[in-house]
Amino acid sequence: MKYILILLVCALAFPRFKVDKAQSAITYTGSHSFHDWQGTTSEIEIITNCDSMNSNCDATITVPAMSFRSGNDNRDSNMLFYIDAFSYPMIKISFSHLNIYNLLSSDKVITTNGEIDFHGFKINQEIPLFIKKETNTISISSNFSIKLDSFQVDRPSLLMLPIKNLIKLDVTIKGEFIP
Amino acid sequence: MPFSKKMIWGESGLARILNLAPENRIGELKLRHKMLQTHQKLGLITLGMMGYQVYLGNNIDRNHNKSLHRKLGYSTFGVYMTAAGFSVLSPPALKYSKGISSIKLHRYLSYIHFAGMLCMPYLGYLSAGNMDTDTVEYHTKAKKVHGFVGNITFASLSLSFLTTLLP
Repeated sequence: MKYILILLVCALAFPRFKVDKAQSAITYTGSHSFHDWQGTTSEIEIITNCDSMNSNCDATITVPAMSFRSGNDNRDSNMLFYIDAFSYPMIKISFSHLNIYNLLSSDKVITTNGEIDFHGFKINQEIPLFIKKETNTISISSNFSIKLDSFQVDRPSLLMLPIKNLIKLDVTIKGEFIP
Repeated sequence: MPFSKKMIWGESGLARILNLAPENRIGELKLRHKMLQTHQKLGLITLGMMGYQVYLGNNIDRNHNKSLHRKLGYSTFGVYMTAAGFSVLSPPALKYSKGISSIKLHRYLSYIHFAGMLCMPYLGYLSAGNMDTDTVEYHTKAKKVHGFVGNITFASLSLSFLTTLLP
């Protein structure tokens, strides 16, 4: 009984989607009056009970805030300060009641309700998803934006001018379902 | 981590020995944020002051504005060093990576304008003829060097400012 419980806990705790980190990235684009910049991470984990035939499953994409790199250490540190990365180290996007079978069989982008957990706030938002099955891999892509003030993130400023409120996100994930 | 940060904020850095460091890393980041915001503001003021100072210096003989040039020189030096202090003494960033970036260019250029700024008051002092004697005069050469170093310092400070506008 004890071993069964341990196995069950392990099955729930470990992801059933293996992300190919070399080919996956989540990129945010921020804007300031003087320039735009991008921060990227490939430290993506997906915890899900989905498989390619599911019509009702859940999935959570998790990214450590620390892992974003913009090519400017000062800016990255500042970003972590503003989003309270010590208190809220993980950024999550959760989807419930996903119909993977439908998503895989569609050639179009399907808008799905997702819950973004960022800076201690959970906000539901329509997120466009495009999921495609390639030979052995599943490819997930999405583009959407978030507003910093919705998550009560103060906007950093450079030369006394704050950055724009809108942050664009570009998601490209490749991986495979683990049977 | 840059050497200057290690000296102050390293494990056995000055801030730790003198018990001046905030309690935790969050406190350090808050302090860093405040210090770098002040650095930005003072840096802008310095750039404006130095721009006017270069103008005055280039027209010093024509406009008889030596006194203003001297006073503004000392003020600029003071504001500049305060701005530099807020950057150099601030707690370290959360991470430092290899490779070139706009902020690294900003730092490398600071080595040039900081060195220039250290020389400027003394060169100005020599240029005014304060060290001249009956037998030796320094001010002619010193004026040329003062102007040259001043222009390099202003150019590198301006470039340093421009790097902050880069992505």
